[in-house]
Amino acid sequence: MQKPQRRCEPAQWIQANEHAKQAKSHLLALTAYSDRRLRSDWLKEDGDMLTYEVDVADGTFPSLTPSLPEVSWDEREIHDLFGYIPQGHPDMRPLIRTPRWPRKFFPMIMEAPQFVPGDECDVGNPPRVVDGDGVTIMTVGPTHAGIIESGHFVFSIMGENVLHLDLHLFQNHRGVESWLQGLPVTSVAAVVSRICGADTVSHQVNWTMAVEHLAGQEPRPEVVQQRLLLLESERVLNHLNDLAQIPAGVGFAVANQRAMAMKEMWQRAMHQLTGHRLLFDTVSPHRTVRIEPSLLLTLIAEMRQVWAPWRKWVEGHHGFQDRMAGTGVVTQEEAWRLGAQGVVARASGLGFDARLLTPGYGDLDWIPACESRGDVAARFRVRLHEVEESWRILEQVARNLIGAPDPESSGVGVILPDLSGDITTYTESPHGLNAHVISLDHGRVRRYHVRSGTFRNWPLMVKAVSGGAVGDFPLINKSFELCYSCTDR
Amino acid sequence: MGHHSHSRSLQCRHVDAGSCNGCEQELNALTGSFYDMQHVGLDIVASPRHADALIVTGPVSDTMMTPLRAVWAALPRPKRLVALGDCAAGYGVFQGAYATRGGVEGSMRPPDVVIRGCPPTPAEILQGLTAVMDTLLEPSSFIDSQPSADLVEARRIPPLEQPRGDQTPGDVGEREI
Ligand code: SF4
Repeated sequence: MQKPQRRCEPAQWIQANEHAKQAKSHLLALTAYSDRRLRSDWLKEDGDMLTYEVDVADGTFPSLTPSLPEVSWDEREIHDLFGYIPQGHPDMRPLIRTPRWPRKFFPMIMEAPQFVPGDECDVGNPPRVVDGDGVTIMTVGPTHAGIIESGHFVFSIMGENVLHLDLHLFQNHRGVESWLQGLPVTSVAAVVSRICGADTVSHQVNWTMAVEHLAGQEPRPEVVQQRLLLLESERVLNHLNDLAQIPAGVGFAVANQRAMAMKEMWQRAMHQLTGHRLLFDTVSPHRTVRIEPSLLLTLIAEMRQVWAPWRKWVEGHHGFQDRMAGTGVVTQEEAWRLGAQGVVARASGLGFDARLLTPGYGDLDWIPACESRGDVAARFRVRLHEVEESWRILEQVARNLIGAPDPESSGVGVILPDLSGDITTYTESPHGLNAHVISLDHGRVRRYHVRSGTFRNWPLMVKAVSGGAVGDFPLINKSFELCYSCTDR
Repeated sequence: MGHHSHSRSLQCRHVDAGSCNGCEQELNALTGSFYDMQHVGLDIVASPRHADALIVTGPVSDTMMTPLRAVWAALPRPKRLVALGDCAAGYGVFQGAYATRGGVEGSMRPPDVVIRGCPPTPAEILQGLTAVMDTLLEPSSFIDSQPSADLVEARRIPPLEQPRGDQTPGDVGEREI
């Protein structure tokens, strides 16, 4: 997974990255470092990685956003946290920075936090709204009426129609990347496991693979397979949740409740099989929790009994299907341009699934999802398909594993105390590709950058909502089901 | 005030203050048919004005502290403050990150009930919220009908400039006297 780094002069930086995108590579992350440099990691179609680096010479760097709009938020984030200025960026409003931060406070480049904000300040930055006769501004959040993560949405609406949605996220920004910096490698797993309660296994596996690669220790095949079980179990858990939320978005309570019940069945089984209902702390460099394969096979057989009638029922419900069809469309072109991830990409005709490039998946019989319409119905169908494919994957792997040795003791073991190096790892989580760009220095974290699939999909949600009816927002929002925690960090 | 003190029910408002969404998922599970929280008198309500208790999740991110205090100020008294999960309780893995404010206690005041766990299971949450219900039956719940320190604290926050819909009672700190 290590690859040559290509240093760019600032003048070549834009061209090099543009070229990677034109060659159909997949941007994993754009990462800034406190020693005044940036690096972009690309995943090529053949699974190789490509890395470019550029110096932030005088505190500025050439902005990629005009030619690669998918990095707009990345560059604003770098500006907020490091103070590096992307020259030529069309929208330099703060993304994470709030008016409470002292002007010269750049959390990622300061040795010790010097942040003592006052309480008596406004919460956020001014929103971007549409001005004009008949335009109404509707704000939602940051706190919500139900049990939801915090986020602030500012709608410009005319009549029923959404003219523009301005996202004000990062209310949940805790400073996780800065918090990870300086941690000894032994303390990282517990934090990484909690970057996102939904996609925790994906993040845990990224960290674990990074340590293994840097230590030069490949995991045994049965350990890789046990991790596959955990990754796919997590996908089922989240897709069941998200499939439950979509009918809730149109007030279809029975479909919601029945799918929530399936999720609860799955969670209870996970508790029994792994010790945790949400699969926290199941994978780390020294331990991969072993799922008993025969129990898993029984569980899937039971789940199919409840799943099949539910699927038939929601697919046959005309009212529900009508509400989803043609709603919240993301075109293939937009999906590609803005770097859509996961379900959102696969519902808009982009067949990319990082599992195709992940060790262990190649030998299995499964069909990646691909729908073309890009509407809520397509995102719903992608998840239906993926739940069933995940079960097929789980069954194949579980059958292989019956009788295999227990991997409890087969991790890297003692994490080498002076582990050093740079590595980028990725996995396909239920919400898209999660990439970790990690730099270790003598057993401590020097830089830990997390780029989640959700982060890339938020701007696409804006596209899907704009131009539609405001009453469709809950449905469209649920069809994306984006998490905040791994976006805000 | 005290409309709930003679009934066995508890209406809760939830605010996420920087959680990883694990605590939300488990709280949400209570609304499903396996736990059916309404059956035992518990509910999540849309307005803090209708709530008896505020459930907080997450280590209290810096940005959420202001809205969180405003929501707390909007709850009618007597009211209860619940820290749900290790993060809100002040123990989680993110305590100390530069944009966190020490959980419920560090950012507001000591919670009345703490539900530990990362995340606590739905059954544990149910137990914890039932315990909150019990504290509201105690006569002590009438003691703080005077403006309390947290209210005075919340009123120091100036009203927000924009109307924020009914969900963020930006100016309620001023109204609740
Ligand atoms: S206590 Fe655990 S589950 Fe809850 S928000 Fe914190 S890290 Fe997430």
